[in-house]
Amino acid sequence: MDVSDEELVGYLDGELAAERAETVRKALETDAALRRRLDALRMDTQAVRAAFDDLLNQAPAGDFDKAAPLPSRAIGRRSALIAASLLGAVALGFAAGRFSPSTETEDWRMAVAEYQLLYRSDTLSHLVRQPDELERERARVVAKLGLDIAASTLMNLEGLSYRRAQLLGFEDVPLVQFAYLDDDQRPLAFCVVPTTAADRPVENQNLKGLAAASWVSQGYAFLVIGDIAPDHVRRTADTLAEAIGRAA
Amino acid sequence: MASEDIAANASNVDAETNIFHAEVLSAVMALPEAQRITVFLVYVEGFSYKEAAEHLEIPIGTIMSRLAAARSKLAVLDPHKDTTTRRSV
Repeated sequence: MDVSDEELVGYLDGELAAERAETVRKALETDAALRRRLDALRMDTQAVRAAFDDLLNQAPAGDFDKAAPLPSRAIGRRSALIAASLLGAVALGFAAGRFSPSTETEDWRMAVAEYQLLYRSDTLSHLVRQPDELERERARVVAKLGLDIAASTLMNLEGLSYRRAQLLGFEDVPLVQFAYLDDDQRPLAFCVVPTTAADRPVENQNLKGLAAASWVSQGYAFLVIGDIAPDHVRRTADTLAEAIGRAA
Repeated sequence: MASEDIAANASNVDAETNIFHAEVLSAVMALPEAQRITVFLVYVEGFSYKEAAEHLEIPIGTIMSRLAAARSKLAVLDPHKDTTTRRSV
């Protein structure tokens, strides 16, 4: 039987007509592929609601005045306020501010540098895995980050062998690390955290003796760091900044 | 500093909830605007498909296709799912 993803969503949301819902329910009993498609569309709708309720409850009312409201003929003030937040940068900034460091300080970069100092080529050199495994890992961590950085961007950097993606944490926000080895088997990391800081272009740094380049773009702070040539770190950062900016 | 270590060191449920809510918000904010607004109306405000369609002045089928697209991206956030079968956002 032919059931579209749209109908499966309608089934999950209790929006299908009773007769069609019963047809879908019976099909699900016997069709494993259909059950897998249904599972792939399941999400925690209560969590979405709770997250937005939390956002509204924590937001200073004035923040929302800055955003243009949706037409609100059918929805009340509360909805208009949240809807407005969805259309502007206010909510994004607020959400990030609520849950992440209020400014993009050197703290997280120094934490990464200290961690990176522990890396040796042996830390990563044994990690040789299949592309599909790397892709699953990448997909998992970028989902946690909320920023989909393409595999083609991450895994084709000049002079760098991609080894793994890791979900770490800094204070109470996710910190994602992509790890590489250069042609001389020296480790390099590309790290990303959410931030409320204003955008800034790529800047070179030296953090705890490691070459580094960092930038901020559209709610995320980025850092490339490793004990390799500073110009290689910079070229890598420029390549990543351009590719991620282009995809945004 | 691996995620498992961080989870083990989590000092209270509120912090974990905050992180999860931040993940949810980030993921919803990352949706294309049309999907984001539709998710908001249906899953946050509790509009029926018909009400959402009328409010946005679009067919119900479009509401359903937007929600299907959004769900395929947000499904990864369901903590009850096995991570090996999750889709990427």
